[in-house]
Amino acid sequence: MPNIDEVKKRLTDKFKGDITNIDQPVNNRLFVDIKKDKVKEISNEVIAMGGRYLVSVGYDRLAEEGVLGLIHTFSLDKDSIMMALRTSTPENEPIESITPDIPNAGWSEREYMDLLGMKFKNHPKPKRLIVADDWPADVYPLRKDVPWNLMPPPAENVAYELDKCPEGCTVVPVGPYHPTLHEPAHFSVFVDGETIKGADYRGFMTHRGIEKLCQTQLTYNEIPFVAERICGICGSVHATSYSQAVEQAAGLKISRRAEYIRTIMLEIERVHSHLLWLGIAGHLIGFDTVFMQSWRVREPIMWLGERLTGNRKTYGMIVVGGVRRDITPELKEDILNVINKIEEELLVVKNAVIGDTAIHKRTKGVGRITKEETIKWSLVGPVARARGVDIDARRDNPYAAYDEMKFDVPVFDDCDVWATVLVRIIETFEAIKIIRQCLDKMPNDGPVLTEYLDPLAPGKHGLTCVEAPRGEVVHYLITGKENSPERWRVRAPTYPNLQGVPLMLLNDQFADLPIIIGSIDPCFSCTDRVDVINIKSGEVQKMNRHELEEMSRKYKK
Amino acid sequence: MNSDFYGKLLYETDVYGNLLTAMLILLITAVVVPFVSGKRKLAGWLNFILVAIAAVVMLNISYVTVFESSKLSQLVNIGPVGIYFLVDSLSGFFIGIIAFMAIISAFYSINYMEHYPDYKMAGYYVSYPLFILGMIGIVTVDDLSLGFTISWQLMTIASYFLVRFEYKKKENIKSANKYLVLMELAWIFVLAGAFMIKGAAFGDSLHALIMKLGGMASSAQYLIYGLILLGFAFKAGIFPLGQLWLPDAHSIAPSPISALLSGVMIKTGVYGIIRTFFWMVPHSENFHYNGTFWGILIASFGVATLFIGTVQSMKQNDSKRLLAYSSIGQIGYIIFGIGSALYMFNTNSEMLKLLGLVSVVGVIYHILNHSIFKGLLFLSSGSVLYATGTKDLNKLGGLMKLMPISALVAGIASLSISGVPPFSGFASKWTLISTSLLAGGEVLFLVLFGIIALFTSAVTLSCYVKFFGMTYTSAGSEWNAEHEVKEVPVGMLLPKLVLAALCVIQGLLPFFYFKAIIGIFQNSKGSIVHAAFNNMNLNERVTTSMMGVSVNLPGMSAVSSVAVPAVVLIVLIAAILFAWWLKNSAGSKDRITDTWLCGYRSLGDDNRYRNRNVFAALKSVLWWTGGNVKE
Amino acid sequence: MDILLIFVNIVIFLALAPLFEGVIRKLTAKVHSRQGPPVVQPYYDVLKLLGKENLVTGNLGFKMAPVIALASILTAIALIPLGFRENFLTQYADIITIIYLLTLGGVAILLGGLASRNTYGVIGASREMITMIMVEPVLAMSFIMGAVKTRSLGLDSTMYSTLGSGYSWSLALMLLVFIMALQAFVGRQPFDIAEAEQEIMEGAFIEYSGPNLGLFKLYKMLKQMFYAVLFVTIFMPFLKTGFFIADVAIQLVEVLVVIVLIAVLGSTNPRLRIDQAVKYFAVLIFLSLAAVGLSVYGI
Repeated sequence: MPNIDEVKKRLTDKFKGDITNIDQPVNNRLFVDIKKDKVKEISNEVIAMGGRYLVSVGYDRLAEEGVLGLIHTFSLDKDSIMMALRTSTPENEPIESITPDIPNAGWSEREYMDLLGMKFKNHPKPKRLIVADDWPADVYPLRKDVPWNLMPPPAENVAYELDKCPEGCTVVPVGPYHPTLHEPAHFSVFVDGETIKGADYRGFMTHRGIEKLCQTQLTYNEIPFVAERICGICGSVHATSYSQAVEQAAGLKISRRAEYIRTIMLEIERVHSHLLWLGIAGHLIGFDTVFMQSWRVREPIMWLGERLTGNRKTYGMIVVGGVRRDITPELKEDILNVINKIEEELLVVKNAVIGDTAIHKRTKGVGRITKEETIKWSLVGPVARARGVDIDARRDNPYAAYDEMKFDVPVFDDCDVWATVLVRIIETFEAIKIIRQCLDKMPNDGPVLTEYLDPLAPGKHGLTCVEAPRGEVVHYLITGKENSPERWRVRAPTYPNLQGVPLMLLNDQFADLPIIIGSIDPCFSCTDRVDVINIKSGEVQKMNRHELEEMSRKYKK
Repeated sequence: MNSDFYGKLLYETDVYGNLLTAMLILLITAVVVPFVSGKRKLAGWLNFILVAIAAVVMLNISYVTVFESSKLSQLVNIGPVGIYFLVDSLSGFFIGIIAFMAIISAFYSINYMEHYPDYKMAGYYVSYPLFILGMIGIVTVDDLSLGFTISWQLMTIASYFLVRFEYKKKENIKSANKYLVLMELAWIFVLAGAFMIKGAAFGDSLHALIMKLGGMASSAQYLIYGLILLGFAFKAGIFPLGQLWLPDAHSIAPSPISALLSGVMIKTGVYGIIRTFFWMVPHSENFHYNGTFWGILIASFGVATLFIGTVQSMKQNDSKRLLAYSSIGQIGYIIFGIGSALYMFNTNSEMLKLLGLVSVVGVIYHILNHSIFKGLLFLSSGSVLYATGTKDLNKLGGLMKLMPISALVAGIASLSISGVPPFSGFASKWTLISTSLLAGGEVLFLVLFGIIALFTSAVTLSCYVKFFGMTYTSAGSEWNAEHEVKEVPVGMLLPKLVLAALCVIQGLLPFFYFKAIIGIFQNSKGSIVHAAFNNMNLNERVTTSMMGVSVNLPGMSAVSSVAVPAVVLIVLIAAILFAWWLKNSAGSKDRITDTWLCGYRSLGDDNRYRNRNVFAALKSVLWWTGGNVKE
Repeated sequence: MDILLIFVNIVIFLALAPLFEGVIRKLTAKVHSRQGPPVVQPYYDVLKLLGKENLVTGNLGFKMAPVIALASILTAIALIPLGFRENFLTQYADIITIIYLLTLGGVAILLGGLASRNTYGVIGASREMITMIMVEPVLAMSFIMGAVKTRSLGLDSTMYSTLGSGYSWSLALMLLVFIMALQAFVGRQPFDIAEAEQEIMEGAFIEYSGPNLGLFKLYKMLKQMFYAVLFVTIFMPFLKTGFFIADVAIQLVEVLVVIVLIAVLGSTNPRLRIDQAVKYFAVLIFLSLAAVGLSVYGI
């Protein structure tokens, strides 16, 4: 098990001339500047050391340095190290793609082809990912010279070329409007009979450009509230992760009490999210009783959210420097009552679900992928833990008050959807356990908000992760001038997991599609980072897709 | 009208003379028409007219023998050789369906054969009348040697050339050759069976054979009947023999010929089986005919055939192969009926005997119905092939708008073969299934067979929902038709409409057909059921009226089974009117919209759900029945 | 009088089928800990749908399918002896006719699904057909067992066979099989595979709206009540009083019991996949074959 110095040594020994600088602002974080020719080799070396690919960050430095920056980030889970490989390339020079060896980098790299106009050598699928079908090909929205509110005119008859369906198969289009997908995305599913033989994905249909918005329009202290709105279910994780990234970049240490409150909020959110998922999973296999009962059990936690923060969801609790509200002794009492009640009722649901052979029939052996494939594809969260990959950011890269918490990380070797059900149910009980510990150990003093008044120096990097209910959230922050980030990259857990879905679907039945997609607890919107379609009621008229788009654009202005 | 009056008038009709006249006309057709084959239309019309004349003569024979008087066997000298002919009611019935389908098919050919511009027509018009001639021969000759051989060879060789009509496709030649070889094999089996009879001479009439058979020991029957059954089973397409040739041969022949092959030709095998097991039975001291054994054997093969044939049919992608496999399935029903009738009739129970008689009526009824609707189905798929250039169900779809009349006709045919009341298949399948279910009270295996038959008719339905749905509804031909799709010409619609009308009539008026078929058995002398049909007072037990048919079993007060398609139809129509009224009661308006596929993609060739994907779960459960289609 | 009874059948079914549907929805809601819609909601649904605009994506087959479906079930309803009283039409139909009529309704759905040109519609139709093929024999065999006993395929004598002969092991086995297949007959969970909302969005009905959908909904409610009536006539005939009105009332109460059973089974099971369901049905077919076999030997 190499410690951080060994990692540094191994890298410098092997790639002496290619590593220009190693930065270690805090323990357990490494920022390594490398030459762009060796991106692939060094990345592979990090993987060989037990690293797990997280996400890539691309950013525009054309005006300042005439280059486009690219950062690949990794986590060495066993060693509690997170590291970033930083490089850059002039505008027109391609950079070696790491996707052939690290398939999960596929989307990140495609994202920067779309948003920054970067070019990658040997990318296996250099297709459009983020921008809309009719977005002009030469406008790169993440570049600084492109205004944040640019709205190119809509184009007609431009269609994304989805993958060709294999011979003998038929395409079943799933989405964007489909009951399985609670948010818009399109799966082009290739079926032979009812057996799935492949799938292609076209998502990002509600890409909101939050990163661009925050980088250009908002200040550090405003962003947590937008960050929280990345996800409607587990927003706190984004706010926490962002705040931690800022705190890390600024070197700010927040009070222990605030960390405990953050932990409580995160775990409350986890309980709510897992119960919500359990319900939806029931619904997806056509078992609405599980759906309704899980959501009934979940209801008190929503009440609790309102009691603690004023909102049932999207708490607005976590801000840079701590939290917005304190937990008073009365609230403590409420929390205990609610989690006790939930634990009791959840036990009933758990026994019903675990003992139901019909549920076994629909989930066991479904969505199977091996542990090796899971690791290769860098899948995260319950999806990975259900496939024997023992990772959990709360334990591996502790943040907030998790270093003092005692909890089990459930890992199963079933490698199927059933295991993800088990993982999530057990995690819910663990979350309740953690909340109890927090309430027990929480220091009674200390400010809940630590103010940081100095201006933040530009060019500082922060890399943080938070274990969201769906898996690990990664935030990467580069500080900028004028009290707002130069670059803020968000990676929601659905981002890597969704890339593994076609693999899970392979050779399963079409009827299993909802639960397989559901098993990753997809949050397309997090990935897409909504448009409000305001259709004025009037006389009924026939409207096609283009008219609808036209209309939504019109009302947006 | 007084039937005596007609009887006297027609008694004078020289049935055998007319038969020879008709045969002569067919021969002349075979010689004359090819000379004008360069002019396709003209040749088609000439062929049709001459065949129609011959067929009208034969239909007259059929009418006379079925309704008026059955004839006895007669030696007819053709040049130097004498051949025994027998035109009794049963032959008359078969002559009738052959002649009728010959007219229909000949008329259909006129237009249909136009879409083979690459092939010369001379061979077709030589073979066509000879093929009809051969089939007529099979059902009229009264021996198993000379006349049988001539007819069989005529039928086989003529049909061989018809099957390999599209000789430019290599696989067609292979299939046709296989067909020829197997049919010759079948011929050898039948002949060998006949010559196993001690003292059998070339040219012996069936009657003579029966006398000679009666002189043998009972144990001889297993080999003799076995061989003959094997031979005819090849022809009829019984599992597993039918699977060897039938789907290949029937699917590659031009559609009017497929209609004849499936509609009529395989019935000659059935005819042979009926003749052998119901007529060729000696009554003598030392020869004991083991009817129950043969009954169980034939019924078992029948059930296996109907189940496997139909399930295989469900798996097909090629519409004509689907129909061909389904022919095997439907022949299965017929064979099953023959077997169970034979079994039931040879038991000692009065009730079973009666049910046996009803069952054999159902057999003849189903032969008639199957000729009509299977002929119609082949003509339908022929029309689709003509209009779109493909018979691949994966590529077809959505033709209802473009070919509405063909769609209607194909719909009627599909409902008929699936046995949905009040169409024709219902009446005959009802007879076959209900008799075996009723017999179930005494004989377990018959009720099981009946249930399998009932289950299979659901599979048949699935097959034809697919056949119809994937051709006429759904979508697909927009992208795959080889040329612009139009409704087929009147010349092709007309024969189909005639057959479709018959499908409805035969379903609605079962009482008429029941009466006629009972008449067939009452008139045809020499069969084992002849006496029973006349003595058991069937008319009291089987009530036939305008309303339908019902069967009263001896010793039971209540009606045992009843089928009244006409009443069901009236209620159904009333209900449809009510439903239609209800639908429009609130004055809602229709609006035509596009198909909705989740909003990102529109319907295209790649995201249609194709024929091969349909019923995947069922296909994979029933993989063991064979006939699986690999892509 | 006999002719009048036909209308009594139709009126009772049309009047009560939506109510029973409403009961199922209410009960399901209770199991879900929900308030649930009022029990008369299905009436509102159908009435509302009748007045809505009718979107048409297919050809004539698409428009006729709901009409044929409703007509076929109404015909079947017209034939059956409700309250142990044969009506004018009962004598004209035997069990084979009834089975084929029920099949016709299924075929209409298939036709609609296929004619809608929708990929999901065709998947739904394919699944519907598979379900039909597999459960129809079970239905047939519950009748056939009566036929074997009474040596008659007549609708009345078959349906009364239990009344005449009482319970036997074979009947008990058939009862079990019938209950196991009940959800498939009425197309509810775990066998609403052909309509699976989450995967194929109501399958064959996907393109239907307005009056067409209303007719299909009514068809499904009538079919559900029809199977419940079959169930109580064949398996629960013991409270026969001989007075028509009393018998009808008793049967309707028994139907309510079956409806409750449907609701409970439906809300305590997830949907099976079609490949799993096929295997399940195959077991049912063999069990019911065994039941028929036993009944031939009088067990």
